Amino acid sequence: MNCEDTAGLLSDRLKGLLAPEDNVRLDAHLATCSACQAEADALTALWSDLGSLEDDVPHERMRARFHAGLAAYSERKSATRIGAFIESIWPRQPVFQAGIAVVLLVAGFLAGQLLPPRANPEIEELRAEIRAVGLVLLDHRSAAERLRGVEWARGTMADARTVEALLRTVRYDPNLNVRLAAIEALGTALDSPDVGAGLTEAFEQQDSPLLQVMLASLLLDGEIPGATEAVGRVLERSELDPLVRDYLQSALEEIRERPNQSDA
Amino acid sequence: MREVRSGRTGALATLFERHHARVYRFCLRIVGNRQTAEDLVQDVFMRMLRYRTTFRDDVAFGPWMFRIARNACTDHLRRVAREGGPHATSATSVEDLPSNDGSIAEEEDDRAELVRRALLSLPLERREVLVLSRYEFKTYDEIAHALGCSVGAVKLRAHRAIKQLREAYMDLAGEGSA
Repeated sequence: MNCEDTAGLLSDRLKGLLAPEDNVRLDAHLATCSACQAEADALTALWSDLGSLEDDVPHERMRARFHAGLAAYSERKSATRIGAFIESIWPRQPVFQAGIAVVLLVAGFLAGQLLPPRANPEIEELRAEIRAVGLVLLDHRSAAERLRGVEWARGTMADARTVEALLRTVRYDPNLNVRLAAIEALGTALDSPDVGAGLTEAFEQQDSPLLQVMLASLLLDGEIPGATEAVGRVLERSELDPLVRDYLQSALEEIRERPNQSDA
Repeated sequence: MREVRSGRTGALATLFERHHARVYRFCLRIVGNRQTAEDLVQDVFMRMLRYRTTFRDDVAFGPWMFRIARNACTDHLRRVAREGGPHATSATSVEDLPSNDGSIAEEEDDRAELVRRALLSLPLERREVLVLSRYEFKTYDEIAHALGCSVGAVKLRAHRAIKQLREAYMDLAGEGSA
């Protein structure tokens, strides 16, 4: 053993980790090397001095401070319990994290496609206001504004109040063009029993030959229940315009001549 | 610590009762100031909560705890060094160190005071390995876990640290007798 070898062995001896055979070798070298012996003595004394440094006692306030910090942390944690739950089940492997992210993305997309849109109270309120404005237009003094109201109503035919307002327009509006526009608008919703019945009723109230012909054509072509009976009742009127009478009679004959679908 | 890791943060109070004195003394020997050491103990235990998921069953609690304590001390000393404070990560001369800051020195005898000042004069890397080696752990393996380095590096640093400590001590003793 030479002097360089003693360095590591001295450190191990200070730690108490020197193997017995190395201990013997180290002692043998120190017995023959005064420099290494002096180094060993000095380091051992210093090591001992380090160990004899008085242990400082932590102040009691540390405990109170720690518990206050822990309580604050627990409060924050309870406020985010859901986040902690997610954290506890969230995988640590990035590949699984990416997998979960993709699954959530796909699930979110599908849910967005399948679930009905959630009603937003503000949007519903706004729609109600627009509907009210449109219905007001149908009652406006200006015929041009009422026509604008009918145009607006074309886009809201699913609403019962719009249908009711248009039927009222067909029956009572003083302007022929407005009534025509309303009939055209309602003609797009003949599938609705309310629209068919309402137009049939309006047909019998009409005095205008043009509207009588237009409504009869619409109702008979649409095979609206009760239309032929309504046309028959109008034909019984003595004051009916001759041209309208001819049209209605020929229309009824044409219907009677149609092959019965149930017989086919 | 397993309970803390699983979400029972209240269990940290038990760990605090058992270990805060050790952590305090380690921090005090690294930074040399009682108030700062108290602050660091608080920081260390809060870090243990934040980083609780990094605790692994195959590593003993002690090295894991001291690794956090060592990082807290390192962060503090670097911050102080950036701000030009007195406790730099590597004190180049003992005159830079707080010899009489009202924290430790006054009530100690001369020899102990010299050893303490010599210890504080060491670069952080050697100071921490010496403190862990002398006061906390019996094996190099535990120190290596705490410092995040190899056992060989710990042995080398420990040997150099004790030699440098002796040189610093001799310098201080020489100044004292001059």
